[in-house]
Amino acid sequence: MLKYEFDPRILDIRESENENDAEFLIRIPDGSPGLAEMRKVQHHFEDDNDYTDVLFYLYPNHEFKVILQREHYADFLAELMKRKLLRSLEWTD
Amino acid sequence: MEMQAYIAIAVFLVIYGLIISEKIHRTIVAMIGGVLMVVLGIVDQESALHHIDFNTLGLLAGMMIIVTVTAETGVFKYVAVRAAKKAGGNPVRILIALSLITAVGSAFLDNVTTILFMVPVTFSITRQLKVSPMPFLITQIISSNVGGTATLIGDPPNIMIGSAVKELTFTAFIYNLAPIAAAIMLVYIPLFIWMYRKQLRTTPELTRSIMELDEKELITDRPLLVKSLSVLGLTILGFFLHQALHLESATVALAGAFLLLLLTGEHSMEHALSKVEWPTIFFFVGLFVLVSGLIETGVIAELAVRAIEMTGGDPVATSMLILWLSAIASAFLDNIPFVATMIPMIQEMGNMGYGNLEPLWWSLALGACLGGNGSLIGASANLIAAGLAGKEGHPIKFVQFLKVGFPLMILSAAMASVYVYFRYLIG
Repeated sequence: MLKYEFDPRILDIRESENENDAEFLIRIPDGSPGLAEMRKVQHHFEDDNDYTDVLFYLYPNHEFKVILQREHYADFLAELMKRKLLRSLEWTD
Repeated sequence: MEMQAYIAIAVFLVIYGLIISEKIHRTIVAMIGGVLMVVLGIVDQESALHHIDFNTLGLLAGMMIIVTVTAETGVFKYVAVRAAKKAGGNPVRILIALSLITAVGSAFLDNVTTILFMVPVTFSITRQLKVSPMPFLITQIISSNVGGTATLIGDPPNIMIGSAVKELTFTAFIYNLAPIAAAIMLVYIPLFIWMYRKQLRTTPELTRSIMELDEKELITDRPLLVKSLSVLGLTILGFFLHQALHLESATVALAGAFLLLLLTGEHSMEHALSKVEWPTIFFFVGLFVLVSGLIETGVIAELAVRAIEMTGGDPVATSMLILWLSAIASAFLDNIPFVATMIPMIQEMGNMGYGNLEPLWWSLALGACLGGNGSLIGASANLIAAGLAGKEGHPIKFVQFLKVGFPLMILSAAMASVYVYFRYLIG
């Protein structure tokens, strides 16, 4: 499975199950550089031709709900890592 | 008829059959058909080029560019989420709101483009509410065809008719077709509610999750939003005034598109041009040349003679024949090639001294646009929505759509017949 760590000064991540999908609640503190990077992650998944792989819902106070299909779990975390929104990402047994 | 005419008919029927079969992409088939007409000497290249309606192509390409750049701002998602919140997060009310947005968007942008933007946001909202997207997709397809009926730019058949008949301006389309399109939507909305109310149930918690969405965050580029909405507004104003300005609708659309690209810069240009649906544009090119073979060899004139003989030249019978033939044919064939064939036939009837052609043009527009709802393969918007839905794991079955779309199409064609009769033919 994939294990990840994040810097709470950049963002806060809570992960849960949503039926067969994974759900992330991501909150970005005011003034965090994470907001611009998170928007790039959103743009990355919304600009492709797959409309239901990763769905983004935006709430006040820079809160993102992300519902994603299981097969795109690694893609999503890799994109967060690429945008330096995660400190580490590794496969564990 | 001469041998050339029989060859033209054979090429046309084979190509038409291949388009219907969907075994090979329709653009490839139509272009091969067009090339065959030239290679076999049925039309020369000069005539073939002359028959390509660049007004239709320019209008389509111009609108695609404007809408692509506008979509980059997130405004279409904003409108959909705002409507969902205005509907109180209630799935039935959201279904109505998205149907109405689709209808209005289809009228002023075009139905194919509108569907392209509505389907993704529909998946997003229905996933959040944990309801089936199917009622939303089916009602949006149907609304896109009804809304597209209302204006010159709303649906490819209308673009082609408006381009071929210069007297039928943007304003004339709205004046003549918008009332009946609005009436059909008014009848459809209660039917949508009746059909789907039991399937659209959610929990208060999920409703709240829609109500808490921050739609303002969806607008990603405010300066671009101002530019694109200004240009879109100017372009629509240009459509209203195009006859007074002595400009073709394609000139208005292309002027708007390239004004917007001038304001947004080179990066936007490359992105926007890459998003133009070139397969659709070339599909039209192939069809225009294919049909030119039938025109140049006199086949279309012969068909016009037969149609007049069949109806005795009676305006009521001819209008009803065109409306119902267009509706039924457009339900099961792609309405674009059908209209490409019917336009020269009606023009030929005019050349033969048939009186007032105007009811025939409106009958063709109503039949072809509304007929698109008869089956899943009836219109480009249907195929695009079905393609997107299938790719996302929600395939719309042919029979599933037919059960809803065909009766609604018959109802709308009946309403359109009454409308045409009382507005143009009585007395």
